Amino acid sequence: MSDQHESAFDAAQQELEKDTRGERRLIAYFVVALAVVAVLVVLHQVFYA
Amino acid sequence: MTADDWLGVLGSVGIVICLVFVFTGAIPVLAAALTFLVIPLHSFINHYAQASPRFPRVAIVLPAWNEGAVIGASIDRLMQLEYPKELLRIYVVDDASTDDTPQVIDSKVAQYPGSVVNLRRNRGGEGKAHTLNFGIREILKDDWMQALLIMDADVIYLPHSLRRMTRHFADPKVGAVSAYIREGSADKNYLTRFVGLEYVLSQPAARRAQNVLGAQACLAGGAQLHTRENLLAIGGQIDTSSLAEDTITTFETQLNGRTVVFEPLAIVLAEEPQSIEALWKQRLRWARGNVSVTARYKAVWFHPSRVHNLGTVPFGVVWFSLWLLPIAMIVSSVGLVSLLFLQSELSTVVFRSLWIGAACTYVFVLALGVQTDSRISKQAWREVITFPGIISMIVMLTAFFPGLVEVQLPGLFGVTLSQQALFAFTVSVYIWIPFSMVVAWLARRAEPTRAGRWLSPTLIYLAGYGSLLCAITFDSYIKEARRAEAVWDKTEKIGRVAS
Repeated sequence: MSDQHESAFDAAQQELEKDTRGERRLIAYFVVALAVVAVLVVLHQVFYA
Repeated sequence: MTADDWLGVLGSVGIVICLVFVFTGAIPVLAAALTFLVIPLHSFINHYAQASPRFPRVAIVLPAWNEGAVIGASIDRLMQLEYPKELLRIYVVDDASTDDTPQVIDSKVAQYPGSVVNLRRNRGGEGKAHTLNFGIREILKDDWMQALLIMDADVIYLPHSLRRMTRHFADPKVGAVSAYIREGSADKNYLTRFVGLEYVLSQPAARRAQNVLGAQACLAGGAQLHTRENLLAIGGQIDTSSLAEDTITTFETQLNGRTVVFEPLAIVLAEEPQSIEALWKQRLRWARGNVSVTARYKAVWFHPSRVHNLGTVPFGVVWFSLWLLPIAMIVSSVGLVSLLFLQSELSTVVFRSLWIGAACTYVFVLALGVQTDSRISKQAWREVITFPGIISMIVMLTAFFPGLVEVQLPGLFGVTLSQQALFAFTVSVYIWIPFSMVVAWLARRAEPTRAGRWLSPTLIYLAGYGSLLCAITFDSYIKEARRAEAVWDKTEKIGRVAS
């Protein structure tokens, strides 16, 4: 493998590891989205239930 | 039984029918909720565990018809991809252009010797699929190509995008990989911001869910990468019999037992229509294509298979709820208004339940979806807030906070609505959703007029971008019913992508 290919391979490997870890952010996004809906439901319950 | 008994039975049957009608409006809401509830599972159920760095020899087929304004920049950006240059070849298929496209391509062939190949068709105008096939036939004549990238002439690949796609080919089951097409116009207007937001919701959000469910609905036309084996397995060419060649390629790949992966972090910028008329033409072509796909694969829907996941119930529900959304909206409203006349109290309960569910789903979908591409979401914050349309937001408020719109707000101005006015308001609220499609159609009609500059955006903000898309889908039903000629109508691109 040439130096150029080795360098590209290393960069791609690091990128893959970073991207794999990054997908865990979806859980945080989900929690935030649920919290926004919860606020709406609580407002409804407090003022109009 | 007496006549009164019969009337009672008929009334009950009528109420049940109305409830069934109303429930059809809940199906798309449930499908959206299901799709977005699945997204966080992509944290664990994704293809990254099977991926590893791979650098196959990639042939890029670039169809071009009068793309002189954009083709040069596209080739330059492809040559800047972070990918070994000797493993890339760009085959530009000039579809008998009449502008300066041939000269621009020739200059790029000279600039990048051995990397750019000019393939010119003498007879063009048959559509993108024919143009692609011309290039694919040339590419398949030797064994150099290991992977084929199909793209559009106007799109800009971010430097890391290709290698993020090829890494999935470490898994031999993968036949094709699709990238995220991000709206990238430098001079955005209200419509491109709406399209950008739509793409966020439908790609980095919804297609992650399709990754989890193991079935992809459509490879992006401007960013799809196939293995050589997959291309040969689906016949070595792109389907030319319909306007939905990308969807057919996607389905054929999966029906042949290969996986299609959506890679949300491989980003490709594209310019999207700035006018309703251009968007209408583009989406009508897509919608009519989907009609033919639905008919063509009628044996696939709701028939689970060991080979693919296109026949699963969740995938079928999501597909049909989008395709039949305008009908669901109309049928639901008819049911609600009928119920109002049969049993008004029940109609109020049903309306509130339906719209509270819709409001919660809408808020959840947007709150989750916009986080998957915060860059676009920040640019389109006004469109995020008004995505369902300002009037639909008022309807949601009416359902969520009863009395607010009918009593308290008018009360602030010393106004008390009469029973007749309240009834008229209720009917208006119940029929709003199908009527919003008419408003979206009016926005299209108003666009070429002098007032259209401000009137069309105003009507779209009031009716909602979703209503515009539903109106286009409804138009596709009409065109199909009339068997109107299905023509390949190229969307005009003038090189607005921010480079």
